[in-house]
Amino acid sequence: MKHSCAPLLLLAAVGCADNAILEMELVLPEASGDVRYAYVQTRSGEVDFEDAWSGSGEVDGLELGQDVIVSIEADDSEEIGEPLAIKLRYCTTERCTAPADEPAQEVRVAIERAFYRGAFTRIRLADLPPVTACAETCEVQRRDIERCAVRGCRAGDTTRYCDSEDRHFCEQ
Amino acid sequence: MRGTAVRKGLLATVLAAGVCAAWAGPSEAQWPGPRGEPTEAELGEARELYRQGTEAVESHRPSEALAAFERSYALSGASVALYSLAYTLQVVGRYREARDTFDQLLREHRDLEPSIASEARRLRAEVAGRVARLSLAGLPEEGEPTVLLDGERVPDPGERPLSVESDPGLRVLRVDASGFEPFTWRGELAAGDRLTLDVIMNPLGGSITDSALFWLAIGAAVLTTGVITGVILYDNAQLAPRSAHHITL
Repeated sequence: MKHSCAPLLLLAAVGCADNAILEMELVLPEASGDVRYAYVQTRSGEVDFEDAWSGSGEVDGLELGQDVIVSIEADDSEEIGEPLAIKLRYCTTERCTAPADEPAQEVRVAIERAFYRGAFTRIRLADLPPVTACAETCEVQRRDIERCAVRGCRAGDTTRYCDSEDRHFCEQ
Repeated sequence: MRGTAVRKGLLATVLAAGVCAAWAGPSEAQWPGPRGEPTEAELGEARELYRQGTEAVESHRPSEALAAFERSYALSGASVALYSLAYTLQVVGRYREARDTFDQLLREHRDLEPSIASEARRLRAEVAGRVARLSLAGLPEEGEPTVLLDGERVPDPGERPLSVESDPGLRVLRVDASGFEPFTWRGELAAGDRLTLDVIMNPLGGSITDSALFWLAIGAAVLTTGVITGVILYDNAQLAPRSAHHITL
């Protein structure tokens, strides 16, 4: 059912905003040695994790050993509805610019669909690997999150955020 | 690695004494130990395997480490090998197995040094907290339902709701019952998650909408979301980030 901004009874908790925000909770592991930061980069659409991402869509300086929430905003109609890719690297510097940060231990997260117009959605990454020392090759892990596992548009907690017809609650 | 000093101390003790701290005979244990008193040759091989396992851990090859520690324990029954097995399982996120291995260690090796036993209990509590649990409500009483988690059958002792343990990660759960269409759930489980899953199974040849309970549930959902929607509808501002760390794509 399409949502409307008219004051009518609707079947989904969506507002009239044009943007969308994914709140990503990161349970960051403890720092180890000189590795003290998590550097987060995001890209929408089909992207290659092997490429070196640069430009916008980044937040730096997340200190390891804390729980932190990163708000990822999509304000372009093309970005909403696209898959979202996230790179998280453990580094000695806030933006992984030191020689010691190449290569760096990395976690890659691929979200089938993260955004719905006018809605807050949420994911929680609580099983991030601990920081391990690496020299020439560093561990790269991947997480795939299907769209029905992305929380949103439903009060309280439930096991799955799609209905019996496999539509996300934020699409109703 | 945390606990490395403790483990190296144990290894030194084993190597110097040339004997097992205690050997575990055949039992229902997850990891079997030697069937009898290990020979010197077996102990020698066990020490070498332990050394290889330690090297594999330090070189970020946990799968090799696990195989080496398992084989070392099977030959020697040395508690240090079982401790290292439990620790490595925890590192690679196999929390259920790690918890059960710590349980085996504490149950079958009661002569552990107090500091090591204390560390094992602490780690056991930590990994136990990371095991996720699905509570399956609404399993059909008829049709002898079978539950598969990632393709492996889940034991069903008959309790309801049925509790299913899982390590964190993306999981697929399937319920089959005679006379019903299969029920499938896919979701990401975080460490320590406690989720209740309502298993709704359609009778073969029928539809869930034939069920009065279905419409009652939908009615309740409409009522709930209608109340929530009424509050949000009158907020015409763009969504604003709610955390200090903000990324705009």
